[in-house]
Amino acid sequence: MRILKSFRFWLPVGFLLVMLSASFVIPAIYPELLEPGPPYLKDDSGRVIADPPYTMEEMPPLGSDKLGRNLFYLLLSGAKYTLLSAMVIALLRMVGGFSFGIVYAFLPDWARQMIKGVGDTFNFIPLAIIAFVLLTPLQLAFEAGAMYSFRFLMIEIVVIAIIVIPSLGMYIGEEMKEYLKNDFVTVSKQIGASRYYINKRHLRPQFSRHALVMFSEQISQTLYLLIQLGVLHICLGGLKTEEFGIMEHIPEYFSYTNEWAATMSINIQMVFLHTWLVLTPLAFFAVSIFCINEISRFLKEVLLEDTLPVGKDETPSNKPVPSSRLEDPFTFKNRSKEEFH
Amino acid sequence: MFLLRKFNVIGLPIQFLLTCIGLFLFSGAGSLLAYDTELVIMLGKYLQTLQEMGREMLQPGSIIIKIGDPMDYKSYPIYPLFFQLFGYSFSLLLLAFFLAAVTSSLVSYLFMFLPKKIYQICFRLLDSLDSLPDVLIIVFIQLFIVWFFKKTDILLFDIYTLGDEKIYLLPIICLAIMPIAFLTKHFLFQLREEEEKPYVEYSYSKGFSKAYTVWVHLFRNVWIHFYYHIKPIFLLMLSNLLIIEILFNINGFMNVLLDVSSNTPSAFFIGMLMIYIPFFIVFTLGAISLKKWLSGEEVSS
Repeated sequence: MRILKSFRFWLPVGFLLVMLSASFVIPAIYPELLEPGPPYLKDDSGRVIADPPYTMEEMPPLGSDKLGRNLFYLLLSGAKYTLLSAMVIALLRMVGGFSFGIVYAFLPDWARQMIKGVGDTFNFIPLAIIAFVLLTPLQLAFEAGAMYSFRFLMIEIVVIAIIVIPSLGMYIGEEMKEYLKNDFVTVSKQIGASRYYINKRHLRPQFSRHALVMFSEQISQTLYLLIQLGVLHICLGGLKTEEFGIMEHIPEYFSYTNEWAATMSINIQMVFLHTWLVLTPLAFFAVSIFCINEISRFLKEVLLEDTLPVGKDETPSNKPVPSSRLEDPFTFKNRSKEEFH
Repeated sequence: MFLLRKFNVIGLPIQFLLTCIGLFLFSGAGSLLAYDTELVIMLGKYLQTLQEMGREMLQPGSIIIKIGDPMDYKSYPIYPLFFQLFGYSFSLLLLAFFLAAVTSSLVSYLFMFLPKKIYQICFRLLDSLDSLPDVLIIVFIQLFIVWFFKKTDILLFDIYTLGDEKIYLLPIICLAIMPIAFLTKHFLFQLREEEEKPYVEYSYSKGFSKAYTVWVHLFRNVWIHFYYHIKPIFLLMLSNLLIIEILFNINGFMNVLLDVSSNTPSAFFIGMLMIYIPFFIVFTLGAISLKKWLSGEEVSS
């Protein structure tokens, strides 16, 4: 309950909520804002002074894309796809990861070793490549017109969620196994507690707090991954190529959803020409990731370290991680978000 | 205890084999998902791909890799090319890694002398640096160099590769930035904890300066923790290497691996092994030596 009263929690959450609701409301009320703007701009004496993409002065507030559509509204309407997909992906990952983790924690040692061996595979291939390998055939099918954008989006969400579940589940399982070594769990086992009971009584209260923090960390990791996939031209909702050249062959990518990573990805070739088209979506990403990181940091302080930074000269987040795990530094124990990249 | 150790000795090769099998199984995954009117999981085609890969792996020298546009690609034999690219890409990775290690320890050392208030602010800034996506940082650096070039006519670094030339400096810097932030943060965590221990006080009371104490005594103890972060950092850098090679238009190993991942699964498998095996050796040796060292220290103290 302390969480819900805090300003530090509501500020970033509120910001994201406003952005999300604006992303639904504005395209619904003002569909004309997303229409292509004028094909060229004239000054007072009738001379043509600009053609798309317009700069920020020519089309406030953030300029336009190649079709003359207002970039700000474009990104705003794409926000729902990016943010909601990231949340759904994170949610699926948590559900899958925890189911995997519970099974993993109760497995016999040899089975755990087997899973560890195979699961380590996923640690050595960058996630972006894993997603790329699995999604490229589908992207080709999408370009050929075999499916709707929304269906492709759904498949992408599921695939991006699934590829993280083995390593996440292994991490959660290891943590659970460590936790089950506590004396009170051993005692409770000895007096005959069933697995179900241990789950309910010991694991759930402990790990539901962890889960909240992890959920919000997963959202920001998903956003990082979406950017990387954008660089590889795998975008939520798919990209299509359209012929832009009149006499010659100039294929240009365009996206159905106007999702942020897609908007960045279709313009990345022109980063030196139209810098703004690349930097703006990235800035949107950065701001959202910052908000989500703030939320995770706050949740961590309140839920895991159990101290509110009131009147303390050192914030609890500055406290080092416990260094009690000196046995084997090269297996994953102290996982941080960087490892899921 | 003895049994456990024995299990570990046997377990290690098994784990290695399992991971290799995992890599093998994953390499064919490109043919697993397909779409005609419904999403279909093509187990038959997948098994066929695996079979083909197995056949090709018997004569690894004859594998041909295709690079570039699917429409107009160039074919190369796997043998010299893969190894040349591997050398280049991983020298970038290693150099960036050393740069990150040196810079982050220097930066965290200097941080320790900041007054508390400024330290807090700097730490907070460092923490927020995490929110900047790597792509954004790279694009910023590229743009800065172009801007600087336009203003002063001095091209600081080559920002783009054309043809066969190789660039080193800029990709290394870009690759090192994220690990520097990550490592510095963790070093500072550890230094903070270490600072509260009694021997630090003792050193001060003996009249040693703060600079000496932090550098000689604190850092010696913090460096151990460095090992804990080697694996996550390498993995982080591996995925960043891919992005950097694409953004700088470098024909590097990761770039080719990406190309190959969709059309030549056997080459992809070999590429993955080339990444995995050195890592495995380094991590295993590191773990063994550290374990010996730590347990030896315990006995002597």
